[in-house]
Amino acid sequence: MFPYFENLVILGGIFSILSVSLNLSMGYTGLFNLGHAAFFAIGAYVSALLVLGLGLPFWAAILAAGLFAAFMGYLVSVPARRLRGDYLALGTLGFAFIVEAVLKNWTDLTRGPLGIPGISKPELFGYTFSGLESYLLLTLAFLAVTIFVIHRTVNSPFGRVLKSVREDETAAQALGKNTLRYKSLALAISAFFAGIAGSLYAHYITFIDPTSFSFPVLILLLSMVIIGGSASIKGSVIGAFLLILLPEPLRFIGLPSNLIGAGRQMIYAVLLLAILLRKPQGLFGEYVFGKKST
Amino acid sequence: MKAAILLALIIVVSGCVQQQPSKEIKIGISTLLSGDYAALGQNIVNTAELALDEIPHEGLNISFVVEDSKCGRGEGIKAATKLAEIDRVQVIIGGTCSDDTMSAAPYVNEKKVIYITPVTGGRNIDNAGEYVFRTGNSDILAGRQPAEDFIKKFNFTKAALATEQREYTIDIRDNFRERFEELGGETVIDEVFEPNANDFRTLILKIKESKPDAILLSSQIGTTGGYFIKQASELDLDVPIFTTFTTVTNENARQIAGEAMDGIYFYDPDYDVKNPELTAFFEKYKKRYGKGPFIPFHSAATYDSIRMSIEAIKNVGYDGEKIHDWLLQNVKNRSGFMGTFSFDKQGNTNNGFALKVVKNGTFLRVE
Repeated sequence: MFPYFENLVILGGIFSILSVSLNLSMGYTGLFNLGHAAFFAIGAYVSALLVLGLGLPFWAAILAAGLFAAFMGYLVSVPARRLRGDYLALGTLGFAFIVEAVLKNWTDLTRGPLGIPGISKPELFGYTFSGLESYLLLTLAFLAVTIFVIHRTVNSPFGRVLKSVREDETAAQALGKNTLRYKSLALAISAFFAGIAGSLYAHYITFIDPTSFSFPVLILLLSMVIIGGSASIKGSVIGAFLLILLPEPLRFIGLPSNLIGAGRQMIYAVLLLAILLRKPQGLFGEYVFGKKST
Repeated sequence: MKAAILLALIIVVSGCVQQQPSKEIKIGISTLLSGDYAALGQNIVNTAELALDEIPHEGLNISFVVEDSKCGRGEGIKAATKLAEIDRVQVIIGGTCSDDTMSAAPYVNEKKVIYITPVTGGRNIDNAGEYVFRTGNSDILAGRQPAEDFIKKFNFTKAALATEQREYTIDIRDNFRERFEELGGETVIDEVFEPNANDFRTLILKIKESKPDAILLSSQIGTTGGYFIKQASELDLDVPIFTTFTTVTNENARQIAGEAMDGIYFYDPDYDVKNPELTAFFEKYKKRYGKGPFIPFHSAATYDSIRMSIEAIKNVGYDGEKIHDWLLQNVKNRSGFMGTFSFDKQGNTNNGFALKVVKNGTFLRVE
């Protein structure tokens, strides 16, 4: 039964990387970023295409995936950084739809809706990370690096500026900070780790297609950050694992077969609602979305 | 933190409870049970439960464990690991879309657990590994068969293609074009439309302009096909339309198209309609669940999958590796609800399609 948990922890780990990095742009900097699933998709596709198309090793591909996602994050931030609040949300959401449309329609490169099957597992000095245990370690290693980097980032002077942008952008500007540049960098770092997560996901599942990264995934990521609590790394990790693990005990309730799908989803939704009603700022949050007007 | 620990405990405890050794043989079913098309998966579960009552299995204590795969990647592998690790199943009937099947494939191949999909047609499945079997119909034939019929049966050399932007339909289009152009046909227009499109007038006028001999209309669940057919008739498009079975078997699509559905050709996955056992089975299905199978060929393929799994278990015991070898050796020209079929080395069947035409609301086979 261990592999069953290993699989869940791998998925939880990958989604933790996503939620922690989303928290950097959303929770710490206060950018309502709805493009995170798109950066996730970019990372997955870049990595899969480099490994399958050019035969690059996984390690080069995952780095390239992160860097390319970061570059796209920076690009998006250029037109979007003058936007704030709801307008920024719409801008980044638009970007997400563009990415999905490109993945669907650039069929020569991405194979469109057919998806990319047979993505190989990573290798290191002749050792293949094909088993669940080894992939679990790999994922946790990347998660540890992500947490370390984001933790250092938000607790540095740089991170304090990000928080000041969230609390009051005009005040930060008055103190001589180039807030636009800080916002761009926050978005790029956040996108970098989403790209890393995308690569890990693609090489784990070994099959990706545009629907793997569509709207429901974005909602899942947002829920993880909101339930975990904004501007809390611990919260994001716990939020991610909670949402990945919460449906699992429901498998053992023994519902009749015609209620399995709907019944479990209803219980899942009720549990989420209960958490949010009890803790509207999320489990470990220090900041409630929409409460402060920027 | 407390919540997380509690949660982990719940999982571990419930896991341990399930772990008790028993002689019970559990077969896993992983299918789509939530969302808009939950009826698809429910049909498979219903069929499986009825099939188990109908197929003799004296001495074997067989039961099903059902999981919702949600047709998603993460969900496909979650369902497969849960079934194999917690319930110790050696056979999983499942995979309703390419997503869940493909994501479960690496795992079941590694763990040597049989995964038989009665439904997924995608070309990707063909190479999904040796433990993934398919009793349903391949999209490769869904595209190649119309191509051959166009040239050989009808002498159509100019084809127009209208295709929904989904994996299933794009796969059909690609396979069609490949074979059609190989046989000397010409694709005069090849257009793709959105999965929720409902206005095809521009597309239809473009097709009219290109003067094809026939149209191949591929629709994932049929509603888009219904709109296309209705608007084509309003615009007096006088070209025979060939479509996927989804357009015609979907009741909503039939209602949308109305009378325009008459005279439409479609490719129906070929299950053995003349088989009296199948007719009897469908009758029993109707009696037990109040209405007939949602998609008949899904039921037929599920029945066949379960039947051969039980036969394999009887012969070689409940062991994935042995069942795998047994299936490859013994499923040769086997007759079942899907007609006569064999597994090739990749674990795929060669089940084809029957060309049918709609006449006054009934479907006639075109020979």
